[in-house]
Amino acid sequence: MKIKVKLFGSLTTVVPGYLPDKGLDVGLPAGSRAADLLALLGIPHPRLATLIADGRVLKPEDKLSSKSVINIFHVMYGG
Amino acid sequence: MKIIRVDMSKKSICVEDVPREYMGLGGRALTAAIINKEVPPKCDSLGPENKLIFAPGLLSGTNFVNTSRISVGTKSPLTGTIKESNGGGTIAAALGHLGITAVVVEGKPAPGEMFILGIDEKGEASLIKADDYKGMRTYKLMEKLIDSFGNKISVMCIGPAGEYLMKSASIQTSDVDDRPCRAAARGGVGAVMGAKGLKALVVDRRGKSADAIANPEAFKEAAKIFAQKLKENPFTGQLLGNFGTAGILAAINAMGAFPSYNATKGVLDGWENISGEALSKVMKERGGGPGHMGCAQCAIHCSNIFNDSKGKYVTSSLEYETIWALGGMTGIKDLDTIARLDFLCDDIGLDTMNTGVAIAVAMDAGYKKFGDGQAAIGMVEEIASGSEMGKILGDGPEAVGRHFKHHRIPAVKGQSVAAYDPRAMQGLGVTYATSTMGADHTAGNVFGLYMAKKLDPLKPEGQVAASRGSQIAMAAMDSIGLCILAAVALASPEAGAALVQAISAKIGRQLEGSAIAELGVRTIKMEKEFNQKAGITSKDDRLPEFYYKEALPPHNTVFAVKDEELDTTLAV
Repeated sequence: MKIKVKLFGSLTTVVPGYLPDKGLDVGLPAGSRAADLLALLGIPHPRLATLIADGRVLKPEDKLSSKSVINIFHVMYGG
Repeated sequence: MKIIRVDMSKKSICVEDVPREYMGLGGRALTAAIINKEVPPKCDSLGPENKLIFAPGLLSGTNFVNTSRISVGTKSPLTGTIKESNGGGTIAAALGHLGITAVVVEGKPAPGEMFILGIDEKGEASLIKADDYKGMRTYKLMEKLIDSFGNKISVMCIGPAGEYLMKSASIQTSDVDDRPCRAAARGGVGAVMGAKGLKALVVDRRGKSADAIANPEAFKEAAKIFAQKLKENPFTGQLLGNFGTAGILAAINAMGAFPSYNATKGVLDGWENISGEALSKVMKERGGGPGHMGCAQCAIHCSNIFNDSKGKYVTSSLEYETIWALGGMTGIKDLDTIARLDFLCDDIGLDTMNTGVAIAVAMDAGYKKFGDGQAAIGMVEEIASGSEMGKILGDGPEAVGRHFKHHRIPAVKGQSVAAYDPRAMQGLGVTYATSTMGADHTAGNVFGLYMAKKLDPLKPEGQVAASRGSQIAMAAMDSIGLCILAAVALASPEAGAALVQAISAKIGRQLEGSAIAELGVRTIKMEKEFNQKAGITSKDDRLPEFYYKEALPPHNTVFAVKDEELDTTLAV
């Protein structure tokens, strides 16, 4: 399946040539989970990464949907 | 270790050793202790019985990173509760270098009298008449103070809003570039300073009489470990330096918790124009930039400098909460306008959050249209003019709501909420409702727990415990003088141990690992005691009714934590 991915903060430099306006179109096997996407993209400190789709924070074991835009951040805190 | 006491009624100054009962306390813990013991709880917050306390943190003035935080304590004219308004800049370090544990200002001068309190490099304090500075905005004031006192000074000062005794008045403080752009902004502390007839506190930065560190080698080692852990964390080591605190905007918006158009929506259309990423790009193009060091001892550099399209300085530092209050809440999606509003608030001496939300309530009530940047600038200038409408706006969202008879007022105990909607982040609602000082995200922010997948932000379960834990930790950080962004490093056990070790090394007594939490609990207990004596009850610990009745899109949820659960939050 194809998934639209958007990267934020320092993660925008993880994928060479990443364009924030366009995001990424990523191909993954059907049934892939959040952790699979992080591994494919080579996100550093994956334990400290957060995926948000449809307003919800995904857990590593959550299945991905091709209908959703996946936003990826490093874990952040409010000041 | 000394306390400087200034009586503005008698124009007298005395210096005393720190009394035994206040020994070992700093920052917020110290201001809580002094207010609880010395201020009559039911006093007029703008009267002579109230006190205004400036207290650097326990570690301020040492070389431990990110410890130049100052606590400004008083009884708040905005909330009627005890207040600790926390600020950065350089003054906490300056006071620490002089071995000054606190400056306590009490009494009240005759109407029209105004003074500057100067503290020289030997720690000698004096009151200087400030007639020439009356009505002056803070940037001009800062220039004049440098002309008079030299360029090795740290300043805390008020602008016109403080002199007008407005409830949104801040106390501005100077950053490392001598700009009055940091603030102890919340709770109307600037109005208390105005009521005391104090235009500015000016402290020489060249002090060399800091309190001795009992075990310097152990302190140095602990400080090194903590700084290393801070650097290793992606948030404090990379994100904040590259994007500032605004780097969290996209995530909160993506979670549907970015209060927009006076808290009627949880996602802002056009948020991309004001995100941390957009801000960083614009600043770099214009020769300003993120990665600015705003506070002494800072290793994070979350501050920034925003220039206009011609490269001319507009403001520093444009923070997440400010972008939200003056942008998301008002529907203004233009960084240049938001930056201008931020500058005006700093210059006039106003809390950007209370002011932005006041403008948003006025817009929601139909006074002006959402998104009208020029109208917003006009409203802030109206505050500076001291007109009748300006006074209403300058007193914050509740005053505006009362004036327009408008029901949707996002405030608790008179103080505006922050940039996390409690219907989509229930734990922030618990903190807003139960904090000892009105709606205050810095009192106990649990956003990081949501990002770390440890708690579902939309469900009420677990939120009270999360808020309690965070409120205790933050009370301790505010007492130690550690920037709460740097507290992120405490996610590492080594950093936590290093912090305990540093405090132990400073005071010369080995503390247990539980000491930090105990400090937080002790602080909150003192604050609660004062509030109870002031007449604050659990009925005051509630969110405004609309949060329970008006569902917030896109999740269409309301605040769902039950009252009886809220009442257990700070049963510490």
